[in-house]
Amino acid sequence: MGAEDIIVLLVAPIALGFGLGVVEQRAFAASRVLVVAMGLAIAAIYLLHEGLPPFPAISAKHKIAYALAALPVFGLVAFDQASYRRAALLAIVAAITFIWLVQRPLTAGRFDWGWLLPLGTIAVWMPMLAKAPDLSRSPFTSPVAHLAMSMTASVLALLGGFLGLGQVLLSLSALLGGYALAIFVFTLKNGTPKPGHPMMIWTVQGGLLILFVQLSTFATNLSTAAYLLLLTLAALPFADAKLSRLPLLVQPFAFAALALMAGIPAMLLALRNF
Amino acid sequence: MTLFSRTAIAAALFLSTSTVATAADLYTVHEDHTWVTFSVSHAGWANARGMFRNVSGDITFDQDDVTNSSVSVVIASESLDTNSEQRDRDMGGADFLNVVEFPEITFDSTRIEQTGERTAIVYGDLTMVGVSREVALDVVWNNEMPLPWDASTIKTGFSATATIDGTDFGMNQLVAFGLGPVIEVEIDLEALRK
Repeated sequence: MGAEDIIVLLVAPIALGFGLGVVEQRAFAASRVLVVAMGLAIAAIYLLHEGLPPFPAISAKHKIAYALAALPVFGLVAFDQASYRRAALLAIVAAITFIWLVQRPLTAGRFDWGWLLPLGTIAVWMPMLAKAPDLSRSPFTSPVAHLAMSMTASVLALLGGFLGLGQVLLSLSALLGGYALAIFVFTLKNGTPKPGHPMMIWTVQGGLLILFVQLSTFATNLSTAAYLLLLTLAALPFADAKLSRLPLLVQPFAFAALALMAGIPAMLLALRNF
Repeated sequence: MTLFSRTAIAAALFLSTSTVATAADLYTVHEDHTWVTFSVSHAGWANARGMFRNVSGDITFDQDDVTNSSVSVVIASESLDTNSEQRDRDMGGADFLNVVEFPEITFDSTRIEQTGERTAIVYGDLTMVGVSREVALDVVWNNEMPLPWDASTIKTGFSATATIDGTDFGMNQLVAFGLGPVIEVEIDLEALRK
């Protein structure tokens, strides 16, 4: 792997995430522009790795690019909405993405019972997402939890033969790492960070959900238990009551440790197949 | 005329009529006697090789005017065999052959150019991973004769080579993983006359 590859894979996303975090802390804490920028950043990461899709889309990889392009639109439309409406919108985006992905094999008469897994995942995630986390109480909960989820999904993707998707998820982890780092630096400097707008993390959730739908629809050789543990990670942003009482600077590490406790078994279960 | 000579003449007539093809004969690809293999540079260390085990198709072969012939072949993309189950799984993933979405690789000839007594270039549309591109196969017609144990079954055989670029079919990750992207294809095909 050359220097250029490392820049695309890690350095650029970290810098981009850090930049988003800095802008959020210094200027646009609750801003539609920032939410759209987060959506565009996620879509840009995908396009950097997979290239521009043809029109019309031919394969699932191309369809995902178009689905991710809808993230900034989702960010704008759901910006002022209640949590349950945001969850419903996200469920619609994920369901449309899933139907679009399986359309080709389905019309050819091929049905895979494994497709019920992404549908079940969406059904479980939506009620969880409807309870929005209070970011002012712990600004690290969501970024670190989603970073852990993205990294675990990256390993699952690589083990499932989704080499390109694994790289995308790794870069997404780097983006979230840079974002969390910016919040951490401001916390070190000012004692307490500005609370960001919930739509920043909702946009990240949307990106992860779309990528997860692709992964679970086509990587059917992965352990079902590994997916269930991935769901556990999705619950982390909402299980922060006790961890939020820890000193602010300790919180990101506590959340990361908790995420690893769920993520490592997921990866080991997937490894069992190989 | 002796009995022997009458028998010999009859036998010769029978054999000649059973091997002489009509204007265009239909053949079915004999799957067990067809090898579609390929090789691709593996980071410059060596050429990685593989084959597809499940190949079927039909050939219309006009020996008098080969330009009137046609070929239609279907390859099950999941039948890839590179001597490693893990590698076969990876190559069948979304970044490469994408077998879940595109379970078949097809080749349909569009025109044929005769280049010699037993050689021709067969142009056709190769469709792989949802993308169709014209490719040219350099084909040699090796032989046609009845099966030794069944004179009523006529088999014909061809060898062909082609060079394709995997990135032309959207497999852009090939280069990132040190493969190709140029893929050398070698085919040995036997077909039975219907």
